[in-house]
Amino acid sequence: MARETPLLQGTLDLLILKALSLQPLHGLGAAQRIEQITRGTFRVKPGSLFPALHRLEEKGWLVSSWGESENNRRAKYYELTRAGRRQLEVEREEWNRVAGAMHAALEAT
Amino acid sequence: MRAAALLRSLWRNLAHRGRVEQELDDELRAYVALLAAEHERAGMTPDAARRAALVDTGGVTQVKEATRDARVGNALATGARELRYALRSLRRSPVFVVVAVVTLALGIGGATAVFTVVQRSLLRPLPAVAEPDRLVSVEGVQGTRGDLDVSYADYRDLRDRSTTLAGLAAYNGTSMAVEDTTGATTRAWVSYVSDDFFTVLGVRPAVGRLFHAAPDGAPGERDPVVVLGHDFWQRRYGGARSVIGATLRLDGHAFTVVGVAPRGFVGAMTLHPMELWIPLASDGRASPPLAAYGVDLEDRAMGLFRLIGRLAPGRRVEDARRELDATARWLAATHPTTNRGRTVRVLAGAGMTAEERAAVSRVPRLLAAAVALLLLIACGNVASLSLVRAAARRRELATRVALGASRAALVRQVVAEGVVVAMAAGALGIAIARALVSSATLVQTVAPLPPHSGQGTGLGIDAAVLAAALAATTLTAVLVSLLPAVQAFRTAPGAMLREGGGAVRRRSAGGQRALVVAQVGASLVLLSASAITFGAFQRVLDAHDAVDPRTLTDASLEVVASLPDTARRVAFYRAVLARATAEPAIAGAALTTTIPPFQWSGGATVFRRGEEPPPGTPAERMRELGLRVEAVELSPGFFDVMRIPLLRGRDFTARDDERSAPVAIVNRRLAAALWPGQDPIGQYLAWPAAAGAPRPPLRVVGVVADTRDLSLTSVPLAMYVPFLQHPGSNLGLVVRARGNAPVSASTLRRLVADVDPGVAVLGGRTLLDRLRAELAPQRTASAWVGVFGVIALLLAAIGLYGVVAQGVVQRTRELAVRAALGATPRGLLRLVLGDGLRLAAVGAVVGGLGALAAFRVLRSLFTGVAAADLRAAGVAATVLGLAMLAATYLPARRAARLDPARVLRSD
Repeated sequence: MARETPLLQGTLDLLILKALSLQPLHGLGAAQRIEQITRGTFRVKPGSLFPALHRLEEKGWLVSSWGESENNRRAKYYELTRAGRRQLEVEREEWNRVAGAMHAALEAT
Repeated sequence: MRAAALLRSLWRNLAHRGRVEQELDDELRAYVALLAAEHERAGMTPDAARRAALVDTGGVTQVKEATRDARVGNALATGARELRYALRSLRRSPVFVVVAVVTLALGIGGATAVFTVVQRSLLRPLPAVAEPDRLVSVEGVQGTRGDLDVSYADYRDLRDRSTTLAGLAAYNGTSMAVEDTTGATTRAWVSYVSDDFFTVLGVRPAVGRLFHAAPDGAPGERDPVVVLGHDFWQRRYGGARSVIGATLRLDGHAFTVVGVAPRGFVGAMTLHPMELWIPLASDGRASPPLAAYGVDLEDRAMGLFRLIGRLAPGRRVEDARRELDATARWLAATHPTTNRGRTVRVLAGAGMTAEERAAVSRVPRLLAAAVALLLLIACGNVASLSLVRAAARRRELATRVALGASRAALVRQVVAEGVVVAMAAGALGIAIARALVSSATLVQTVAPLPPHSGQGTGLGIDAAVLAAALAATTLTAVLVSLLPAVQAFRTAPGAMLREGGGAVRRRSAGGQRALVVAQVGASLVLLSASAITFGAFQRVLDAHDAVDPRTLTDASLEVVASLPDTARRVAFYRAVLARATAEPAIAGAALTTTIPPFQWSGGATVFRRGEEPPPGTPAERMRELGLRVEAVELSPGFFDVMRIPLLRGRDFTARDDERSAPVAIVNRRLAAALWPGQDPIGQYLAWPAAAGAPRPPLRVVGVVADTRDLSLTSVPLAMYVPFLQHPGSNLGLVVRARGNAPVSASTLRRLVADVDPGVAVLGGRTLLDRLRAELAPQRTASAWVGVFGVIALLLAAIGLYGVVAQGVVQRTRELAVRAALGATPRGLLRLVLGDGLRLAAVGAVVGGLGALAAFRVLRSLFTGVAAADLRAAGVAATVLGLAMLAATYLPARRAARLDPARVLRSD
């Protein structure tokens, strides 16, 4: 198992938006998708996951609905709204800019 | 779009809390179930899978809490929850809530009401007058003396040369005998005013017309006319319009009624409401009643009038001050004999002089101080009650800290409790303040107005005062409720829970004890103050200089109006005296212008013979040089009837008449002032006449004891002269009853009618009744202070009881151990009693010092207060001590009755 890294401030929202960009997911699904796409680096605990999901929903970037899970259990699914997709692009660019700058700074001689 | 989403969420979170919570619950349950299902698929037993899922989730409650915190409007929702929680928590201690709310409400309501009325009474503008803030008063000033009346000629110049004032009116007032159309005579306050008086004040008539003011200052009113006060009109004529055109006789002179002043209008002197107004001049000459007093409008030495002006548009008081001062200087230069050294003073506002304002504010200030002290005690009481309650719930708070309650949450909750209590107290306090402010008693106490002035009640509450009182109490409530929360943090919850609180008790006890000491002290101050003022008041009633005022009756005789001829008047007076003395119910009768302590006539100026200024000296100058004394005209036998001791010499006799040498009797103070260390008998006293024929010196034939004036603060210098040698005034008849039953007014009326049915008899009350009526405001004030004192006593007793009782509860185990080790119930009783009484004793010492300070203040406010009243303070201290003993005894007895076995087994 990969080493776990504490989440950087503000990265959780971006990761959730990214995780939901392919398909609607329920809470557990979102957590597992994040773990998967970060190759196990980030494991999101429910104590951070659910507050973030609710916060993003209140900002209008996600909508939620109840549905059936793959093994016939009721679960609440979250889906990106159009505003959410726009936000994902905004945050992605912002992140790339920051990451590029950090990389350049740390590699500079 | 985003804002809309936010608002939607806010609405959902607040309005549909239940559904949102339910959803969150479902969502988390689904999460756990999904996770458990995955574990199961990985090969765990269902039980183990579920347990592992729960562990992974990491506490459903915490997740929920964190999610709630992320929501919009969370703070609002939390606030509401804290309030609900506070209400629930307070419901568990109803006694605390009731006592705290009532205590604070009494403090808030009392303080607000008293301060409101005080403020209104001090800032009270003239009633029924247009734009009272544009009015100014103008006083004459000579040397160091201000508040002097101005002569008519000076007034005319000041008025005509002014451009900063839109108008300047002259006025003054006196009491006159008023005979109406039916022939009934009463006394009424009559104001004589310049024609523009009503114009300057901006008053419009209720009926008929007011006075015509000629625009150029020329004489306006040509005939003797009179304007009735609204209340006088209602009272005497039932508000009938037919009164216009009727004739009234004022001091015997006919006046035609032309109009009625508006309701509430009392003239230009707030404290001296007038009932009738006449022009001071008709057709350019002094009005007949004034002329009868020898008023000469052209004589600049005759200062007779008070002046009230209205600032011209855009002008300020300073402008008028500069201008009128210049005019006064010009007058002094032009008329040096009369006006040398005279200037004027222009004061903003009208209605009360500076002295009057100070006098009016005395009683209110005392009450305000008392009620402020009461509010302090109330706050202190609630503080100590809160501490008692806090001690009881320390375990609860410790438990909550142990369970992970955040500081913010604890503080929020206790503050919410404080706010709830303060809000309830505020609401009740407003109701109390409303009731008090609209109660005539309070208004009459603090801002007494004659009943016919038609105003005084129905004041609104002063919003600023209320806000201040509310803020003070809310702050107290919040601060004291914070204490337990702070303590909860300082104490390791484990220690608290383990040791049952014994170890952490001491720390809070210090603050609480200090509070009790302060409370006991403050209530001792209030109690002493009420005892002192009550004592002073009793002294006025009992120990004033009039001996047995119950059997003294006096009535004034309206003689000057009906018997203008001096010889006939004197004959009438002699006959009345003879007739009264013959009456079997009457032990003694005398005539006088003044009965101590009432109505000192004021205003005679005397000198040692040879030291008087030359004839023709202006009256003002004379008053400055000489000794101001009260001159009382009376008949022989007066001192006997009044039982004022004759210290030296003799009383007047019937032979001291107009044909014999003029004589006088002085009181002890005047004798000491004029001839210190010498025998006053046989000395001569100069009493120069202000106008008319010169008056020869008076030979002193007797010295009588001092009598105080109504304030009881001072003994006026008094000179008594026989009325036969000074037969100008109306005299009052004073009679001493032979038995215990006072002589009635009807008896006096009958015996005067026997002599001359044309002479009106007014009054006829016993001296005791008059004293009571006169002192009613003082008495009510001292009653209020007494009420405050009793409330304070109760609060202090509750406070001490709370502390001692709580101490007993906390020391139960210790006391039980002592009992088990052989302490007797008596010993335990003494232990607890001693503890409480030590506190009370410290408080009493603090309060004693405060009471001494209060005594000094009271002495300057209530003149009757004497050193003997400190004994009254001693009585107050005793009462307080007994109350403290009772408050301590109850819990101490409980301590003594502890069953050690049961206590030690139970914990």
